[in-house]
Amino acid sequence: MVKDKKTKKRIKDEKKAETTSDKMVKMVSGNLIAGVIISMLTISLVILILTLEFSLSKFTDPIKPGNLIQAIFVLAPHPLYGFMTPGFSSVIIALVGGAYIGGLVVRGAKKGFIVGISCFGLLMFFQIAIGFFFDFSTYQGWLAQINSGDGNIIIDFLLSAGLLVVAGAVGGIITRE
Amino acid sequence: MGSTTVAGFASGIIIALAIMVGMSAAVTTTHAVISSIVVVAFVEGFSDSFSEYLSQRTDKSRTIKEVWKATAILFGTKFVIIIQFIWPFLLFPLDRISEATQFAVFWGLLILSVLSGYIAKQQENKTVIRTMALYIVASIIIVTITYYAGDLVGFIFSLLGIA
Repeated sequence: MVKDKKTKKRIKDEKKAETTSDKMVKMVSGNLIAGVIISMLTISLVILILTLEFSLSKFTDPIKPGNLIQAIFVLAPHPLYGFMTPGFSSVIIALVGGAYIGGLVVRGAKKGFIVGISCFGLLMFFQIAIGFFFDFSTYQGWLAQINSGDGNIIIDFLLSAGLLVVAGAVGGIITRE
Repeated sequence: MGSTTVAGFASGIIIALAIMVGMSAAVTTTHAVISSIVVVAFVEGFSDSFSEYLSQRTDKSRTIKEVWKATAILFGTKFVIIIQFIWPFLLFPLDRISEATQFAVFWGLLILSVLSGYIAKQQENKTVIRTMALYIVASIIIVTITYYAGDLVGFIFSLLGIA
């Protein structure tokens, strides 16, 4: 009888621990998703307001996207563009600011790092999906155009990934619990 | 010593931001903004470190060496933190003063938020995000006021036909 009670209590404790760890996993992943969403929103808003100033005419690429949403994702992981008249600074502000705020939300250096990497992956995906509607020949033309001008697309991508990751991690370190 | 450095950092950033934004609104040349940052770096560094020196000298428990050390740290911190705001203006082409100012303001707010986060972590009872938001909002208000002050000066000068 006593043993039964002890076993029941142990089983109950184990179940409780499992539920708590499940809750923790859900909370951490929820936190990460929130961080990534806030980062992406900040990046998009800063590019829309500062870089493009709500006007497609600021974007002077011959392979021109049709609308502002497309333009945001074409510019986002490409901070050293040589063909755009307004400076590169606002895209750097968008990337650093967005990832930094995302890092602050997730509260942890590693999580901030993950937010940075995830944002870079998402921006690359949206660049191809929304920027070029999966039209890879146009996309390759655009990449070649940057490389033939002043820019180097590999440096651009590395720089944007580096900025996102470092800013995310710094934000995470500050609010680390 | 730490508190002296932190005080130098925070006020240095806010002063530099205010000067940059105010000057950018009033004048159209990058040289004028750079000159004002250099002058303010020296003036702020000397005036604050002199005040610190005087206040520390009244404290009998401190040795002369400690007083000079605190003075030198305050001057160094303030001078370096203000003078480093020149780099956005040197990096950007001369005709892109507003873009350089925009970038410098972002850089300043980023440093200030990291610093305020550090301060909030030291004071364990404070919420980090709330403290950071407080510092950022306060500096944005100060910078906005100086922007409009600079704009007003520019407007008055244009009415008088000076600029």
